[in-house]
Amino acid sequence: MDELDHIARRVVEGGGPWTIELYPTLACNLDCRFCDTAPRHVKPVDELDEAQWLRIVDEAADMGARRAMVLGGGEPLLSPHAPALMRRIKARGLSGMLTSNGTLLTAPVRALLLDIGWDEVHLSIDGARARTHDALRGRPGAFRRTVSHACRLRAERDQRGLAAPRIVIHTVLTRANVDELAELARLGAAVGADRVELDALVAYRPEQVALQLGPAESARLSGRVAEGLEAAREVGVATNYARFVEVRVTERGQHAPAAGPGEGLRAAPCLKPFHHLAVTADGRLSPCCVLAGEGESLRRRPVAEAWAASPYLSRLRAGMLRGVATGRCAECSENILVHERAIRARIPA
Amino acid sequence: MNVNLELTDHCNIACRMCSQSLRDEAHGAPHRFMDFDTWRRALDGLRGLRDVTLCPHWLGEPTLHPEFDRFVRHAFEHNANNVLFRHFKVHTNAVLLPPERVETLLDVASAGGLLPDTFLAVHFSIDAFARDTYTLVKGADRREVVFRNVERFLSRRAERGLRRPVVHVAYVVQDGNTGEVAAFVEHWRPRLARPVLTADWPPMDRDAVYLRRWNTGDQARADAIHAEACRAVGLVPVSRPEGAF
Repeated sequence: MDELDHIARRVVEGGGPWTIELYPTLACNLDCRFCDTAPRHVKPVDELDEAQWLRIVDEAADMGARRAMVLGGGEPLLSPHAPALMRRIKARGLSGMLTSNGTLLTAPVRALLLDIGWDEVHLSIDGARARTHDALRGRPGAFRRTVSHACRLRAERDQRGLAAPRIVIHTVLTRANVDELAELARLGAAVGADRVELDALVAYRPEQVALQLGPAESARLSGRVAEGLEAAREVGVATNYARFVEVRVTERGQHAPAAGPGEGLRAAPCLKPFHHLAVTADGRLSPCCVLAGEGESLRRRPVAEAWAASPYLSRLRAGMLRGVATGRCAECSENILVHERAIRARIPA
Repeated sequence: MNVNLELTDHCNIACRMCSQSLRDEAHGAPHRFMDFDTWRRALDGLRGLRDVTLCPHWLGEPTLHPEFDRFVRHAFEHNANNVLFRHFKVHTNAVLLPPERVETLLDVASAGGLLPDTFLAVHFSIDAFARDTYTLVKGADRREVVFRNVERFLSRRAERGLRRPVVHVAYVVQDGNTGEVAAFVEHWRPRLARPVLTADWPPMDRDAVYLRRWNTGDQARADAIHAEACRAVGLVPVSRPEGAF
């Protein structure tokens, strides 16, 4: 059985979340043009303290959680609680994935990741060229810092003879970088990344819409993907580029996830409410990043109780079992939906 | 257009990664020194050519030429308004760089009647940090004198308030010296002026610490060694088009 089989079984048997997705802070040191986190440059208020984060990890682990994602909203490494949080995740035997802009991946942080056996680091790099990345990320010098830290992480990993953390370059596809896919693959290989992954942009605000692929960029997308795949093959780096050969995949927000072919769980457009728990910096729960912060708070409530009895999660689950996603589910990434469809396919009729 | 006028194919050390060191006859003939008349006539032959970058070396160590200073001064004295060459570059191992020679190079770099960036760069091939490593890689126990000479060159350039020539300290990453790349970078970075750390040909407008790829029979392995060493100091280890990475 692979992990998807295990998750499918968890969903069918009604256990706790397989994955917890934690957003330690909304604060950020960059100013990305496509970011939706409005309070990222104000002093954080009402964020969970370290003891609360550790309690959530412990309780989720007690429920059988096997994977923890530590990521955004803001930059997770800006949280003073991030080191203890990551330590606890590994101490409880969970697989750990960190998503970071990489600018704060300093020597002590890298040493921590290597010491505790952290599993995967996703670094947000939005262009193969400094001027592309820095313009999108709103900070001159961000590219140089992130790439430098990625190089060092790979070298230090190799020096210890480790295979982890795996290094993944994560790129939000925009009109600013669609012509750099081949160079991104080469950059990935050069820094020693294990994969280069694209994700589609969600565009609400005018500055985000301005970054969406226009007709010209969409028309050349398949060609750029082909170039990127060829470059990736040449340099030996894995990518998810093939998924983006279809323009439809880039149109987040325009297509609701389809219901499955069966009934009940097999009808669910998405199974995340049954196996995935996201927790925002202020403690509010949801089944994913798209719906982040919509549910009740875990600040004073045990994870098990909330997972079993949250009116919000119950409502979502009921809708999914009827084959009906929420309106906002149209904003979901194809990278996630592929995963959800694969789990659904393993649920027995 | 680069024009290499090789003052000599002799060398005073024996770098183990250098083809000159591997052969008794670098050009299929006994090592020689260029005579002054050949140098003078060759320089005259540059007149009328456009955008010439003159390099007084190829396989040998140019400062070994007994009249190196005279040759260089002559070239610059006859280059008023850059009629012979637009740019000038020197590659040297810095073993023979006494104070007088430093002043010669800085004098011509700041000479009047020429465009200010005529003397572009001096490329110091150093390739090691520790003395034992230097001796291993360069085939000569000259580490101390080389470091002293390069540091003196940098000090005198600063004292004279010159921005040219820029200085590149080069390090061919290879078996035997990978462990001290970080020490090399840390030593030179604060001594250079606004330096870049690069794995590709250095820019001609900035000082640089240049971690260079080792050209050898097992190129894949050499590339892997180079990549690992570059990453360890936070440097992307590849050649790339201008502006990329």
